[in-house]
Amino acid sequence: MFDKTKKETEKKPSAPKATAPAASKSAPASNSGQTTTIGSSIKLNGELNGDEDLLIQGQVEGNVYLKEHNLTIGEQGVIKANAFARTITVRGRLTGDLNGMEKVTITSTGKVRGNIVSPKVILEEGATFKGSIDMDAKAAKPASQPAPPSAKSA
Amino acid sequence: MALFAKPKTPGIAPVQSQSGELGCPAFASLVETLEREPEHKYHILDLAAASGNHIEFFSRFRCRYHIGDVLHVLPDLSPPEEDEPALDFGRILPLNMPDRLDLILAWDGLNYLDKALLPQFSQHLVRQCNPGAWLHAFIYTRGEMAAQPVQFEVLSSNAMRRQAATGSTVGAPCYPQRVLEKLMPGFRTAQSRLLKNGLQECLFQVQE
Repeated sequence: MFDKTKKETEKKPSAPKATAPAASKSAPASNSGQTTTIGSSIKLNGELNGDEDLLIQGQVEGNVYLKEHNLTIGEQGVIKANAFARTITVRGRLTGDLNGMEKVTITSTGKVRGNIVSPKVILEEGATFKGSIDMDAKAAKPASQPAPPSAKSA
Repeated sequence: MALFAKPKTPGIAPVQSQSGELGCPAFASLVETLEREPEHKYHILDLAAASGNHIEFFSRFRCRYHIGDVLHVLPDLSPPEEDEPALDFGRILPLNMPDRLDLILAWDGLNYLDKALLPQFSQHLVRQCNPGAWLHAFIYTRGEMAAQPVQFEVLSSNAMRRQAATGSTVGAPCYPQRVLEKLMPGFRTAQSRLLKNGLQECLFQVQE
């Protein structure tokens, strides 16, 4: 689906004319299958809704809904968004609320300002985090998932 | 040899090690109390910077864990002059969460706040607490302390490890228990234990 995102992104006048691929299939960052990458030269505004794993190396403003899949904010990723995914790994910068149904990890290079809801939160040494963490397993169950948007925009 | 040993300089208290393991019986009893109500959702404020160790330890509870990240600021705060407005702790430590707090982890932070500011800081915390909420802290009772608040690592419910960032030290305020209670209106001492290393482990409770 993010191949589609790529095409839509390239049609947007606000999107930079990227010489690098906007979104590309890359080596999986997790063990759940395909991972789509949003490259470092890409800026997205709006909501992302997907059914596969996603690695963001670019800049995203809006909300990200990946349901049962894994979201990784790469070291170059700068995100101002609320994110909902099965697992969320932050290696870059994120401002917003994170809802990880299984786990949220902020690695040593990650900087997060916002609130986290997840039954398991891992903060590696060197990680920066400001906000609160709701470690109530009940709070992160799918029942509390916000209704995903009917259409996505990039 | 002992006959020729130099006597210790009178009036200078021995420098305590600012690192190492320590027991924390009051913390252990607090954890035990929290564990009695596994269904209760606790709201916890950690005054230290975000620590994976602290978060991992408290993940055993249903809780919302707020990172205050204010300890490094406390040593630099000074009371305002007469013609200056009072310090706004609401800006230094915003506590605008919808739920009231059940537990505040102050670690050794209270030692670093100017004595004149302790009552105001205490009142700021109490306003956001549930009646009966806990505040856990370590107070230096003698000699010197690390120049900055040290990092505490929870090893288990009854053991912690503290690690000073540097070797530099400053004089500790060494508050007697009664004085400290007067400086913290709204809190009463629920437990107080003098540990082997000269630290006083204190468990305060918001008066109901």
